[in-house]
Amino acid sequence: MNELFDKLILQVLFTVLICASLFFYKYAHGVFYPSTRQHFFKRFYPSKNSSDTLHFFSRIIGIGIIFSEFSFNLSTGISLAILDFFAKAIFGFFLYLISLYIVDSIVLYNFEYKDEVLKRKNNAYSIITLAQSIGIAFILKTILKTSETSLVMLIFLWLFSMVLIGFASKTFPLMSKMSFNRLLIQKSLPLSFSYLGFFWGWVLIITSALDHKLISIKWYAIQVVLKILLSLIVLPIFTRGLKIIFRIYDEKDDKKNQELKDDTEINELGYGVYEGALFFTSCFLTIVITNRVFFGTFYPSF
Amino acid sequence: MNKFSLYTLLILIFLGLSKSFSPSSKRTDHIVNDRVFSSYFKGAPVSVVLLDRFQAGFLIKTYYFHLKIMHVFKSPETVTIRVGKKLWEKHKDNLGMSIFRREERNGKEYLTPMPPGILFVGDPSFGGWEYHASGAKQWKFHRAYRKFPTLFYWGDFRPSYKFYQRSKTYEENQQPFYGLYNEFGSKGEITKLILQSVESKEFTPPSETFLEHVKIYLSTPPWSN
Repeated sequence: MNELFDKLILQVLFTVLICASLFFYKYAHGVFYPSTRQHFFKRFYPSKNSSDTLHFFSRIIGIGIIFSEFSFNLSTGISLAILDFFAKAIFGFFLYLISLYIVDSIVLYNFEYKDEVLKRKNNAYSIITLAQSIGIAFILKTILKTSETSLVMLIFLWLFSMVLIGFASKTFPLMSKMSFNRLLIQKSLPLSFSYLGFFWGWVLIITSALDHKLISIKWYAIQVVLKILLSLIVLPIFTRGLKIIFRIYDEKDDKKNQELKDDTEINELGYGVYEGALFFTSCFLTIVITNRVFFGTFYPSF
Repeated sequence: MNKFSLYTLLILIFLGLSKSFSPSSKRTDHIVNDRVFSSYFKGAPVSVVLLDRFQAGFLIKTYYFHLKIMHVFKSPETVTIRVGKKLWEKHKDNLGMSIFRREERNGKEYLTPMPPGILFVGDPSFGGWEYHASGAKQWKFHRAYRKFPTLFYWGDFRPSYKFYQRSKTYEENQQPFYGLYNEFGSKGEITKLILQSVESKEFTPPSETFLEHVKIYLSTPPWSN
């Protein structure tokens, strides 16, 4: 019973440590995003501004996802376990905040948090930042897992993943028929749903490409690039296949209805859901091909 | 029922279920005091040597003994048992000592800590006294038991008659005997041989310095295989 009590005490202690590191995160967030400082340091009212609540909680969900990858290994002693945790936690949330800053700068370069969320209460903007916060958290979770205990490899993988997500986020005009900047100014929810599916889809592909054992740097990088290239080959097949199988009629594809390509048509919530869901599902199916096909001894090597 | 009671109930259910299904507590036997030794260690003659004593845990400690059970016609076996704090503290100075013995002839049991192998010294079935030129007598095991000094981690030590007589006096008075020059026990020179041996150290957690640990943070895999 002693051991069980002791384990329970340790688990409660680690819970407190996680809370303490979240406290550090709060201050670090204030440094990176001075405009959000008032929300992190003053009392927050969730029902006051829905778009701000979405934005605020997306960052909290994100850090929760990242922290879910951390572990306490007590085999080497409690002090080293705590050191490991804090080293990874501090690196984890700093990289997370820098990543969010980079992706915000790439995707939302025309928009300001203060204007969109605080003044205009733009829910579309908040849903897009939610997609980014959660998506980047999943990528960081994967690279934290892959880098294991090495902080050097964590930085290398983070840079690599930032390049990938940077390129990926620029492909939105290729996937969607919606004009990103124009519709975001109009607070278009269909756009935000379409972007949500698009961004999370890319996150799926990137995390599945990054998620394998890092034995040598060269082969790891080659494997990741090859998996992403394979994904680019397979993804359009699934997108087209889903449309044919479920007989989805996209009015924008029809040349006769070109004139329908106006804002009223495209601003239907259903259209955004269709675009986002189609891409997201296709990405899910794509990672089956890139990650879950095991050839084994099908092609024997001599 | 308020939230606090529910929370307490939840903790109790968790601890109860963990206790019922905990594999670690089921795997390791628990001995509260040395009176249980008699029923725990079967057979005769038998001598139980304390190889290591260690504690585990953060705030609430669990105490362990790593023991070597010496039989005559069977290979020695090593066991790790959980013990009570009092018993653990009692044997603080008795590392490397025989903490339980049972004679074959009359089944007599001894709990007084004595140097390892003392059970067999002076018993003509296991060896005899050899005279030296100086006139001193020294114990020598029969050929069949020639491995005993190694098994008891004696090194070059061989008990003299004086050592044997003194041990008997201490045993009768139920006082621990650490050798004529305190060569046995936790601080004894001969016991240090045990502490250095791999067998006694197998349960000691691996030690890692802070710098060694920090180096892991900077490690990188090779560029290519």
